[in-house]
Amino acid sequence: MQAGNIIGSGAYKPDYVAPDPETGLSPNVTPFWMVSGAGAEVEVDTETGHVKVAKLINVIDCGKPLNPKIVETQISGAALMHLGFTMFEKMHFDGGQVTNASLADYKIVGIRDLPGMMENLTVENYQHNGPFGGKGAGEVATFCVSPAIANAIDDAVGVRLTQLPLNPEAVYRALRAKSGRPLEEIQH
Amino acid sequence: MSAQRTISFSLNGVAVTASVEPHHTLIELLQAQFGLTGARESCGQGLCGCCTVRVDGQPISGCLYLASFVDGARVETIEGFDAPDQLSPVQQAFIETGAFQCGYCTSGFIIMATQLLDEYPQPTDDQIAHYLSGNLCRCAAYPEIIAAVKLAARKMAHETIVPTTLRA
Repeated sequence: MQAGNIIGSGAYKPDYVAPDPETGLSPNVTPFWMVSGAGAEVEVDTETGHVKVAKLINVIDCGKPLNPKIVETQISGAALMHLGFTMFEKMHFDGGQVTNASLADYKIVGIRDLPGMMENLTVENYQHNGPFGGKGAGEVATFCVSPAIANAIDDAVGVRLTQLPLNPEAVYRALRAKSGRPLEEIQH
Repeated sequence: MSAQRTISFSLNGVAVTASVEPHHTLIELLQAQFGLTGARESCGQGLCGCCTVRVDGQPISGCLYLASFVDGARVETIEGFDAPDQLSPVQQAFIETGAFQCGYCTSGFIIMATQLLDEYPQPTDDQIAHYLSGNLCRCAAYPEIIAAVKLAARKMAHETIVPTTLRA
């Protein structure tokens, strides 16, 4: 039996109109919009402000997933990256200079920071102007992680945090403020 | 000041010599003189694990390890982990579970996962986290990496079981 390679090539050019340089307006500024949802279950230590994400559910609309396994990895990776932005990643500035520009001082998500349980799902959809009904999946799962966790913290202990990261200091300060015993602000 | 020194060591099983200066790191040596780019310098501080190689069977951060220290040592890089026509069980498991996106950190993860499975063929979740906590993956493929380690453990157990079964 003869064997050989089957090679094909194709191209997809999204329909898109660049914004007008004068007005900044475009009749079609993006080939697609990213839509996602997330749900979180958290445990809050009210003595330390430490938040543990017990469960994180991420759902995205990426049109038709062309490679479902890779899409799942993309959802998971995007959500975990944003979990870092949500929980602890913070750039510190001094006179416009970043003072923690190293992995020693700026901690990113590691293998010990995973939620206790995670589900990564897509909704059935067909993107009319996308290749084979698909559209981008890469960062779609990032948007909803922060609000989902902040809402879960509010639901758990009744404090509404509107700034990231939701680190133990922020949570503890909010808990103290809620109880009428606010901590002093640190002068930087 | 340039004080060149000639060192000899085993690189992926082959005896080699190289001329190094005192400030050269192992990563600089591997990349500049041997064209081995699987181990990469990322943070340069020994914090991310991308530059991991093995020296005398121990994983080290190639960005911090001075090249002159490998004189007389046995150095293994990711390029030496596969057999000529076959990926290692850990490499194969990473592919099968999709345990990477961009792949920049992958060689470091594979070396640490191999080290883990050499020492603990059936690792617990905590052992996996402990051995891989020094490797960072910005694409955050950690769940898939954990799955890859478990799959590799099963593959390696199977490899050792099969000959026993055949003998019996």
